[in-house]
Amino acid sequence: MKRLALGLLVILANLSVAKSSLAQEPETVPPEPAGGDNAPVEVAPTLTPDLDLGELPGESETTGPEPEKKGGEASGAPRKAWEDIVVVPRKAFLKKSRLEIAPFAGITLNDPLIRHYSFGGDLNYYITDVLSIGLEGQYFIKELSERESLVGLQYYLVPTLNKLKYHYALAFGYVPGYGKFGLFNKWIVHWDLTFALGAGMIRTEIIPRAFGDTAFTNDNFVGHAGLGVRLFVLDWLTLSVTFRDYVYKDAFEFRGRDSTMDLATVKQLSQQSQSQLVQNIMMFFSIGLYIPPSFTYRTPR
Amino acid sequence: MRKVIALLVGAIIFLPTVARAEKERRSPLTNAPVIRKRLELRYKRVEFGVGAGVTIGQDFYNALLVMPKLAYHFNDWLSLAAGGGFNLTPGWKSSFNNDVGGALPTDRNTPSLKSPYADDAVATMNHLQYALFGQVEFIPLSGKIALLSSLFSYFDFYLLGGAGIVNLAATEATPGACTTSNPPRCQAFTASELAIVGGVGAHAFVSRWAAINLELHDLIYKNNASGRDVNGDGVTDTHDLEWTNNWVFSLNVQFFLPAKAKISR
Repeated sequence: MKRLALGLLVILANLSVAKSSLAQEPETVPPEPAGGDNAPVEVAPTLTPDLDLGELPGESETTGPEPEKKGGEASGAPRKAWEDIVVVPRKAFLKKSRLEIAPFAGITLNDPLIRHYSFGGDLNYYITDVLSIGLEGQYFIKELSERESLVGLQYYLVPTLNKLKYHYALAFGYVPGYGKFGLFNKWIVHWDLTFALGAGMIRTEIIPRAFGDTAFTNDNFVGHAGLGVRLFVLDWLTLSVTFRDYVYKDAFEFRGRDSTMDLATVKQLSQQSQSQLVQNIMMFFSIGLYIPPSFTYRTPR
Repeated sequence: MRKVIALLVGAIIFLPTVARAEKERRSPLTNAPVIRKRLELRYKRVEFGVGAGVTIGQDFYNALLVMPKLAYHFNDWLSLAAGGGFNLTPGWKSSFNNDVGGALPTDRNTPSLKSPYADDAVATMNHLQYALFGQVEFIPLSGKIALLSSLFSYFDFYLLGGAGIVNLAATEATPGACTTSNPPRCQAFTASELAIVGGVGAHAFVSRWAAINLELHDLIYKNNASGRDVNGDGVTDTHDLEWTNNWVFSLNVQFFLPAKAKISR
């Protein structure tokens, strides 16, 4: 009989514990607007790291409008368990002391007669989380546009064009902005703005107007500025879209070239009379691979 | 025997309870939205404003446009907008236009074997006069950005699509040199054309009722920008029209009404 009584006691005790574990509502904490004057409290750091873009520190909510309350959001509505939990995610990606290897593909945007596709890569070392120094190199493949083919038909002219061969440069990068956005309010994606300045060399080659004429190449000093957006996908992987403007002085084929001139003379005359400042605006898509592939936060959560 | 019965009774009651408790023991954030207390800066608001746009990669004429825009946001992620662009610089030649004009003969006393005279060639090149369009905007991305760790702004990215009308004009539709045949050898394409509109945009909010609005439109319409033969049949007519992509980048200052924005739960 004692055993039976003991067994029932154990069952009742278990029931009471189980009931408490599955149905107990969390204790009500006085609601506090995220990002207010008080520092947000992180209650459940290990559960969902990317939450709450509500307010960033430094931006006061006190002057803003009160939330509209309607329907299920009325003041008398039951509060959800998650409403009392404030979560502030850390910066999702650290770059300091890491090497970025970024293969890219690009296209020129601003020349109606000739288009260039570019394939190359960036190699950047991050001195701090926002400053980098690196090397850039790319090889170009040309494509003549339909407008170029119509110039002969419509105006009986042959355009004077140069094609790009390759380019390399030393570049400095800066990250002026960092952001995060909600994708359908389901996922958080972190991204940053990138800015770059660089200087290097670009090799171009003339496309002779007359069939059979020999081409010559130019090695030009080139400067560039770039602006881009980088999405952080994994601890070691990013995706970027970048626009860069390359500025250089290039020599085009001498207008008065005839078949009796030797190539050195043509090149010299071209440099003297057919040099122009050229702007090439390009768009690039790149994948960033980071070494080491992981990083460690140095500050506590 | 009693011991066995007690254990069985205990198991029958205890095991389902444990299983249920285990099932319901989950993160308190499980059903939470990914962003809470989010400013719904577009939700049921009217947006209006004006700005400037510039064409990109046009063959013969660039255009600086004044671009008004009016929109209504049905919710935080879908809106309907109407806008337009009116060319303030109809004479802004591209470098290619200058190159062609510079290479063609200008002196009509000097006979030209086949090349048109520069005036005639430039006269039939058309330019965008104005564009009117309606567009649906789908806004999947919205968030915050910190600039230089001190300036904070709400922003969104969106895709847009719609239809519109573009009006094309030229300095002289049919110069005398073009009318030696019928149909003419050359004539400017000046008409109002239906256009398909596609693109992307972004708002960067400077307050809860004002935003900088960047948009990149692709106006896709049939055009013969040179006003000259394209298909090689020796005359210029509707058979020479081709679908063209015409990019316009714009920067607007937009205002939102009502001035207060909803905050999500």
